[in-house]
Amino acid sequence: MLINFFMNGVHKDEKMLSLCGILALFAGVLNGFIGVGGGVLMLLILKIIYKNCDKAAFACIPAVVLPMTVLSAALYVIREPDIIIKTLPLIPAALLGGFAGALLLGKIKSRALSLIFASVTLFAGVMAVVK
Amino acid sequence: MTFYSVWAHVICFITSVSSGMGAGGGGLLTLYLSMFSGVSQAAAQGINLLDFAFALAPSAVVNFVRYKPDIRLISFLTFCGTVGCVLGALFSSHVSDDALRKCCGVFLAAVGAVTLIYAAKDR
Repeated sequence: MLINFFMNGVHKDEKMLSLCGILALFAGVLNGFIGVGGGVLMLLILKIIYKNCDKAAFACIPAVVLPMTVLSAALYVIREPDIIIKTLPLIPAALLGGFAGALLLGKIKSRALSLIFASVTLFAGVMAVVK
Repeated sequence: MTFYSVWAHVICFITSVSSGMGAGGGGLLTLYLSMFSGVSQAAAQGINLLDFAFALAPSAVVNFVRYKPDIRLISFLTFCGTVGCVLGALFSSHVSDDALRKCCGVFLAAVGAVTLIYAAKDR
C-alpha cells in the first residue's frame, strides 16, 4: 500500500521495492543512531534499483540523503541545542567543500579519492574502537 | 563561539568535497571531533550531520538540475529513511557516549575494509 501510494505503479517490481524500503529504513536508523552511514547504504539500495548504473544511483543520493541528514541533525539539536553554536565555525569549510565537490562531480575519477578515504576511514574506525 | 584547530577546518573541507562527489568519508569529522577536539560523541555526530547537510545541499541542487532523478522513488526512499532516522536518534539518546563512539568506529572500519576490498577486486 505504501509503495503504491508513492510509486503509483511506475516501478512494477514490488518485492524489490519492499526490500529497498526496508534497507532505506535501516539506513535511516544508522544515520540517526551514529550520525553516519545513511549515504553508503542508500548508494547500495539505488544500485539495486538501477541495476548497477552508477550515474543514475549517484544522481539520486544527495536528494535522498539530504532530508534524512537534516531531520537527524534537527533531532540532535533538540536534544543538545549547543550543537548549533559548535557547528557555526565549520559551516564555511563545509559549504566551500560542498560547492567544490558539486563542481568536480563527474569531472574527475573518484576511485583514487575513495581508496584514500577508505584507508583513512578504516584506520580511524579501528582507532575509535581501540582508544 | 567554539574555536577549533586548523585541522578540524581542513578535515571538514576535505570530507565535504568528498561527500559532494559521492566518495564518502563523512564520518571522519565525527571521529576527529570526538577524539581530538574534546567534543562529546553525541555532539560530534550532531555537528557532523549539520555540516554534512550544508555540504550536500549544493550537490543535491546540481544533481537535480543535471540528471532530473525520479521524484516518486526519491520520495518513497526518503519517507522510509526519515522514519528510520527518528527511531535511530531516539535509540541513541539511551546509549552512552563511549558505546556510541565504538559503534561508529566499528561501522567506519567495516565500510573502509569493504571499500578497499572492492577497489582491489576492481583493478
